[in-house]
Amino acid sequence: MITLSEEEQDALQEIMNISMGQAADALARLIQTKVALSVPAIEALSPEAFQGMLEGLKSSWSARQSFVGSIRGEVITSIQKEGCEALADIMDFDLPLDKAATEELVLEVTNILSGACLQGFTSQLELTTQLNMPAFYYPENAIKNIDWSSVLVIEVDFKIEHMKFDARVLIGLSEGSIEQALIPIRALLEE
Amino acid sequence: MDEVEFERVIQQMPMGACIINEQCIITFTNSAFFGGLTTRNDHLTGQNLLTIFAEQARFLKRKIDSVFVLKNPSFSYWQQRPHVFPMRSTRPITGDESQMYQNVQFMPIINHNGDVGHVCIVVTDVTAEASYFMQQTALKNELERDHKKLKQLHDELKTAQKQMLQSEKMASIGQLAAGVAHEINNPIGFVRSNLETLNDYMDKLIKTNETQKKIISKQAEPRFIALLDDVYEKNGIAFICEDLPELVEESLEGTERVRKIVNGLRDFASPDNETWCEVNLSAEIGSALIVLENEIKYKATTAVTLPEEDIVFWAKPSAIRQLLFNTMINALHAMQPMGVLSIECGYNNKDILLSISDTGCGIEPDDLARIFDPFFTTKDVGKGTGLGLSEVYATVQEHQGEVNVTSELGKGTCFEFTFKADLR
Repeated sequence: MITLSEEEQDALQEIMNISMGQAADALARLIQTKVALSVPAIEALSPEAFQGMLEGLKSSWSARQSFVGSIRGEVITSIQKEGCEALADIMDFDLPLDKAATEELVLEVTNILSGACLQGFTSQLELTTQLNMPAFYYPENAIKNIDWSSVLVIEVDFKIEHMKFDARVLIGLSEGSIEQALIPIRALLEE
Repeated sequence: MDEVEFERVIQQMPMGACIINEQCIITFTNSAFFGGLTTRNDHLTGQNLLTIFAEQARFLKRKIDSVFVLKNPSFSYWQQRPHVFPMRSTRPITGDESQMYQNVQFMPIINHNGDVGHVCIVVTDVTAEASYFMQQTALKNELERDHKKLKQLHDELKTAQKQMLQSEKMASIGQLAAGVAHEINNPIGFVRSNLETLNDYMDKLIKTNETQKKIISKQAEPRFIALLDDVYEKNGIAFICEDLPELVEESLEGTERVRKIVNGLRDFASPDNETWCEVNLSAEIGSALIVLENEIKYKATTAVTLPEEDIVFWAKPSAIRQLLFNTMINALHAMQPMGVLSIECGYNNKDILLSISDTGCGIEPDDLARIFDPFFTTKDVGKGTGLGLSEVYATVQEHQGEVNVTSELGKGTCFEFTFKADLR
């Protein structure tokens, strides 16, 4: 299991606060609407705990998007079905949403959120990553063939109050990438 | 590599590339993009992307805006939006599709200031993958349909098997009944004949005894007579002489009833011989009523109207028996206690008319057309085979007869059969 020192945890938290704020800002600019966000929660999870977290996404639309580069991992975005129409409206989609349009909306919002979130913290830590194309995700089956023992998950909620839009972004960092991400953090702490 | 070589690489890349600036003015297209388009434009460079591809303008603008604002790439998939740009299929000879299926990426090109100066739109031809995917989907749907059909068939087979088992069970019940009837027939035969003999003996004994008593009362001493009277009284001989004939009479009646039941069982169970013969319909009705006596007595009273002379016609006896049995059983099942099961039989010129009616729940009008369908039943699963009335119908057909059913919900149902009296 990954263990972060208190200092490392604090530093990472600070970086996440700033970068997620930037992400919310970018999103707000794009859709011309105020976006509220939760304080990012950073947690190292066992495969079982992570599985449990995915269980909670079943009632929402979900999409996943992997990133590769100096750190690797996956972003899973889940969007509550309720607020989709309202968001689609301000994003200039045709209403009512049909199946294809709903998928397109979810993938687009996923791409925007994961792009914004990831860019914020990689640029702060001077890491380079590249996002791959997002894909729809149905976390119905348990993850099989797990070859990792822990994953660092950064969880942020984005909300647009007046339209019931609620999206949760989970950034999962692979085991090797955590060490990679900690290098610049430790360097910052030593300064 | 110099700039010219780089441009040549981009020109020759097997994917469409189109670069636009912040005003959506096209600054570059490679040959795969330009050449792939089905719309004929002399040149694209310098023109507004949203004007040229006006049909997708809203979508393109949304995508491009997000790239400029967020500085992140954006994507579009063939599944949701198969043909963003009007491009022809790259399989013009062997392909089933006329338009190219595309995945599109919108990539930010960051300038020296760290801002997005341009967006590069990369169009990837995924026609082959899309086509394969769609084929697989069609195949999957077909398989699912087939699977469903097979499952249905399997279920039907299972039901049929169950019904077969049921009819086999009925057949073995028939055999059992025949066996039981045979076994009972012998002992009940000698019980009856012994009882008849006993009856005769008893008559003689009682008469002899009476005569004896008369003679003694005239000849003997009073003391001896008093003694005899005392013995008679102590043993209740007077009562015995009175009761004995009644007991024997009742026992004889009992054996007669057993005999009738046995005969009924034997008739019911007699194997399906395919031979036609003179069938006594009146007698068959009688024996059906005996077989069903147990069912009837808690459910209904019977009203049977038969002409004095027996109705005899040319028929298959076992089939007619089954017809009566099935129709009556249904009538009984339709009734709450106590209903009336009416059976009427008579002649109309050369036709034999038979009507069996009940005062039961009646048949839903929608169901009425289906009651003779094999396996149609309104009884709970496992309770009815849905074969009874289809057998009835088959028998009617075989005898060139007719059957007419009238029913009123809550009032009852009437089956009217017409058979030919001169079929032979």
